[in-house]
Amino acid sequence: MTARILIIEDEALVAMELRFVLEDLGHEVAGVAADARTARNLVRETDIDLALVDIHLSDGPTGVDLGRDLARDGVTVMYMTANPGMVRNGVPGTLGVLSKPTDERAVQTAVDYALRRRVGEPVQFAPPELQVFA
Amino acid sequence: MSEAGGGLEQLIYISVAEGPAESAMQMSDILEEARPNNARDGITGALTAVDGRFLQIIEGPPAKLDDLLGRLGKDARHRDLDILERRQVLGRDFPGWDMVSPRLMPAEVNKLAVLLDEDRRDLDAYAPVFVEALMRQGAVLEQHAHGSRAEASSLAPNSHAEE
Repeated sequence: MTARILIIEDEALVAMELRFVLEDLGHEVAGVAADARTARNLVRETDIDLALVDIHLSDGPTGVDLGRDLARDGVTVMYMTANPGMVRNGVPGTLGVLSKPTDERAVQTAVDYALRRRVGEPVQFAPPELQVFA
Repeated sequence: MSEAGGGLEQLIYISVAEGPAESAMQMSDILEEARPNNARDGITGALTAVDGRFLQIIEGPPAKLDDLLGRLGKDARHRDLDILERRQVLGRDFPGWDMVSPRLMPAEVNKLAVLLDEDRRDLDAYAPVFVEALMRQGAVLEQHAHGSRAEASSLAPNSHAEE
């Protein structure tokens, strides 16, 4: 199952590693955004299946609202943050949060889980690193 | 003396990582936390890990470096912090990077490991490895940007240090 994925992350090197991991899995990275406005523009311009959303972006802690809006637009949203407490109570429409620091394997399993959920495939267990909202 | 007469210093330290630390993703929490503090304090630098040890170069006003060392000393993510060298400098090696974790090639990791095995303590031995990796990386990052403005903006180093 391959997908079009948007990376929303202001740490350039982390974004680059994420891109490599996702491309190794056969996914297409449709873009990388470091701030909320750029991310919204990219979603408007192109079809995105899944967005990996950091909470603290170059324009501040804008990721929470951004994720909520992208989910409303039909994008599957998975937060990736060193501050998971900011979304502890869940964000309507979004899938869950993967805590930083993380590693390649955790990203792979979490992305796989997110995409299965997106197409309605039955998945019994969420990966342990991923806190699922609903 | 430069930097508005307050002086500029650079130091390199080594410490033992308490968790996995091979990739930027595995150090993403540290990088994320460091940036706002460093941007505020005029500190720039680079962080990497070699064989389970953190190797970090930081540069900035001396008093701010002292504050940062105080915070680093209390950070539970590493232990046995050892300052290899601290010196006055006229300019920065990492201008524009609040904190960056270069993606090192295996040969570069080996080079750093050898320097550590040889108990080298001089910044002049270590800094060029970081700087060269960052220069190469700049090219890789641009290659992956596909000319998109969105990506270009996300991949440029931060400008705080110059503000």
